[in-house]
Amino acid sequence: MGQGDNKFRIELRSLLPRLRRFGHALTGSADDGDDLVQDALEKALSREAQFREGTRLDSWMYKIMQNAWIDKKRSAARQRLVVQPIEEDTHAIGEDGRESFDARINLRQVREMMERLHIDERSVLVLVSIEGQTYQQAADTLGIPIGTVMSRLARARNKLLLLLDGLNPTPRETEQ
Amino acid sequence: MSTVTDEMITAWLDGEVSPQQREEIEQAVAASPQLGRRVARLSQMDRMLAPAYSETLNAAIPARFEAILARPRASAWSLSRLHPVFGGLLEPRTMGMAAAVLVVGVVAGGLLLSKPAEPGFETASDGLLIANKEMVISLASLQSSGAAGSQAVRIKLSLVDGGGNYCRQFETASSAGLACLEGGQWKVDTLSPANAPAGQGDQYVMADGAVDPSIAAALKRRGVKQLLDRAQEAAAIATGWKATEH
Repeated sequence: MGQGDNKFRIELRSLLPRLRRFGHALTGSADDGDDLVQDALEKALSREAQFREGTRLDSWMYKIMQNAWIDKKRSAARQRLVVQPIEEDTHAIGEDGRESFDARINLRQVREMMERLHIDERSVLVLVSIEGQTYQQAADTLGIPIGTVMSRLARARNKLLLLLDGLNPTPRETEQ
Repeated sequence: MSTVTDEMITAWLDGEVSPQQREEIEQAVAASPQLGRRVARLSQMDRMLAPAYSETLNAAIPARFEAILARPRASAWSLSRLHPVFGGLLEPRTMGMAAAVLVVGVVAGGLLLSKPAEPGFETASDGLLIANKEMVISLASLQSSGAAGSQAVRIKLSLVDGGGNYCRQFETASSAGLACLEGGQWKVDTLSPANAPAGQGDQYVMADGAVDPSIAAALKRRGVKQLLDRAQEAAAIATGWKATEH
């Protein structure tokens, strides 16, 4: 092992594949995702002394990456098309009459649709549906109530179906 | 029967409902073919998410990540290596001030990993350190090189980072670090153990401006928009570190 090896770094190294996947899914770009991973690694090592045993390192890293990406998006103030929130509150499932899942959809389309989600909704969806976190873990990672995890997940999934159905997204001034 | 909501369906798909809720939802789905089809579409869409990014998961790890992880934990960085931190943002005159002010102890290499929170700090629920009440008072009120209070905090430098946040480099009897005012809270960006007792600041190595690498890395990451001179620092203290036009 190298000079810098210790328990913290070994665990960090083992997380790299998942961190890269998280970065890719969060940013919509493998390159941007890797840049995010690099920034997060630098930040994690600079805060190595702050990390407390018993804290989930994966959640700690996800949180660093998510915050960094939000900061980057805010500073860039890029305009992006996202789907307008459907409803803020809980609502009943609609019956859309669609007969079946569109089998023609490919993985690239899935990634493109993911990019259309609001960052807050995408983060929750990635943590739960891709990274396999429980609702409680996702809530802890993002620092939000578990009820917010549920509502964001529901909105994100509904938006994906709307996009799949070809419904026009509404421009949003900024994504934050 | 209560209404089955989107959140309930979502939680059901993720196995996050109680047995009672599960029964209720399954009855609703069984009673409505259209709802059943919608649930099936949601489930199928969800199952495509992980495969959409599996290529990244299985790709070789870039060497640059390994290089970062293999970096030694503690080594003195000369100020010349720190120059890129300031990215040409500062005038040569200001760099001279930085050389005079950016003086901290060389890190001993030991880690605080398994120790309880350092004096002056407390651990937040997310595992990160934040300044406690006494430390906040010190961070908000002390001038650079000043010392006061039971924590014997010394402020080494005040600056505005690339994001417009006030940051203060500090040291205590046992640690040195950087704290930044974000969201109205002094958050500890980085903290390293110091290898010299408080009050021996004059004995710190100054010849090449050796800087704690974790602080240097933090400054590089955050960017430095402006170093505050004493007058600017005093004004910031007097106004309670209000947001400026930085």
